[in-house]
Amino acid sequence: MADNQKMWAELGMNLEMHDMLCEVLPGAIGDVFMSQENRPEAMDYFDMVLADVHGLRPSELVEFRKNGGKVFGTFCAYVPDEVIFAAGGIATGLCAGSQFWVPGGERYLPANTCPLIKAMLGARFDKTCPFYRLADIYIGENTCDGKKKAYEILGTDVPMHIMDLPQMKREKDYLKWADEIKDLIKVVEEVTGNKVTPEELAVNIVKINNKRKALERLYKLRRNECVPISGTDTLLISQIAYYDDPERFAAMVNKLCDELEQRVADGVNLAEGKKRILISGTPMAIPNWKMHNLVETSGGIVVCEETCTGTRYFENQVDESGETLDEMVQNIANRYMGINCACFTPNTGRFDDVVRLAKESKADGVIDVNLMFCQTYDIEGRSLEERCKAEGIPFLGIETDYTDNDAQQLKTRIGAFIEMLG
Amino acid sequence: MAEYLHYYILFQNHTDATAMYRSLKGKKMYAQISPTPRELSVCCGVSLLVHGEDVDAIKEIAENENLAYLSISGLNNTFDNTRHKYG
Repeated sequence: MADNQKMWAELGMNLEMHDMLCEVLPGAIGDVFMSQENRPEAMDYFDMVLADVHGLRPSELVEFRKNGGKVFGTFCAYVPDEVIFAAGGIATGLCAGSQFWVPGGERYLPANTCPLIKAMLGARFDKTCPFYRLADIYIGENTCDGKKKAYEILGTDVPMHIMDLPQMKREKDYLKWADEIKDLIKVVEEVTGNKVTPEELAVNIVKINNKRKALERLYKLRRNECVPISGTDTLLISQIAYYDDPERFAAMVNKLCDELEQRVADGVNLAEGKKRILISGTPMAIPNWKMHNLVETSGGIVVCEETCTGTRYFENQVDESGETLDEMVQNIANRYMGINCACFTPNTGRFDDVVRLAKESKADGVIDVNLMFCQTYDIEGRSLEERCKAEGIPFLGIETDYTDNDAQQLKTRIGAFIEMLG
Repeated sequence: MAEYLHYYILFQNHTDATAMYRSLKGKKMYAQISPTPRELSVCCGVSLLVHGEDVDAIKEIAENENLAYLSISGLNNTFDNTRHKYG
């Protein structure tokens, strides 16, 4: 589309290099999504967003900025979108799920850094992602050492604000996170020039809750004996959740859920003859569809993701009863501190989540997938495996990156695991 | 028999693509929203994958309903979920 080329040029993107990404993505989308049979009709919205992933939403953000709006780039499920939208800004996730960006990141980072972090820097410094070009400021968080240090490097090229996430869950840590959210409010007020009022914050707490509720509805539908949607399609939806307009996104997910309810009633079952798999572990940023594609072409169907591109993103709502700004901020803090990330110690809440979700989604087995060099999740994997085994849940641990090199080896391991499930 | 495995309708912008998609779906015709294959255009963006046997009818619909598109092109590409190339 000619419109996109003009926009990308105006955003200062490296068109020649970006062209190389445009060259490979349509093939990957064809293989992963269009090869699927019996997809829900209402996936068409998400297919549209994906097909024009660097055109559709970026063009909306360009218009928003032309009218004085400010865009906040985020990297993590802990950053409270409510606050940003309450100041009249727009929060957008910054995707970092492609091997295409990794070599660019390795120019700035040690090779033994997780691919997500390398892709972050590659996308920014190679100028090959419009979202990275559009954001007026990035909001980082200290959820791992790699990110903390990488943000320092990103900060040489773009304004950054880092949120100091506590790493324990004591009462004082919840209060500390509320303080960090108050600091974020000051930042968004300064950048946008708008005050975060209790009225606006209340409206946006409801707005973001509605987005989470829509995703929760989608995930609950996958728990049925008849699974009406593939894990791969659901993963795409979770990835899009990070950067789409929240109200439109919630409406589209609910429209899809209406259709899925009918499919369940009609007995449409994509799980027939397949083993139900829960995937846990590190986030799968767009366009990382590797594990889902491998599982769902090896006799399995993914029925739940205990990841940041899964349940961690939407489980638990912000209490909407707060009246003052302080009450609302504490309620927001309480909700986000309820996310169980491996950066916390202890993090047994995550093991409880995996066991609960495995039971709720009737999973035949758990595959714990960790990005290479993600130390916290990698170390935690052993304890998670012990807990799953104690609960009688078959478990497979996998460490991988964004390359295709290990795909066939992984397929053999996943195939053997699924076969073992009987 | 169609000459190519797949046929794509190419557009100037996603608004035109959406209008065509809605029209075809409203007539219960097959149309799949797709990224534009690189072989057909150097510009990324949305295209519509349609059945080869519907191409003549689609051209007629577009003319009758004043639906804009750039071209309809065939391509012998395959969708292989076991290729495991992710980009």
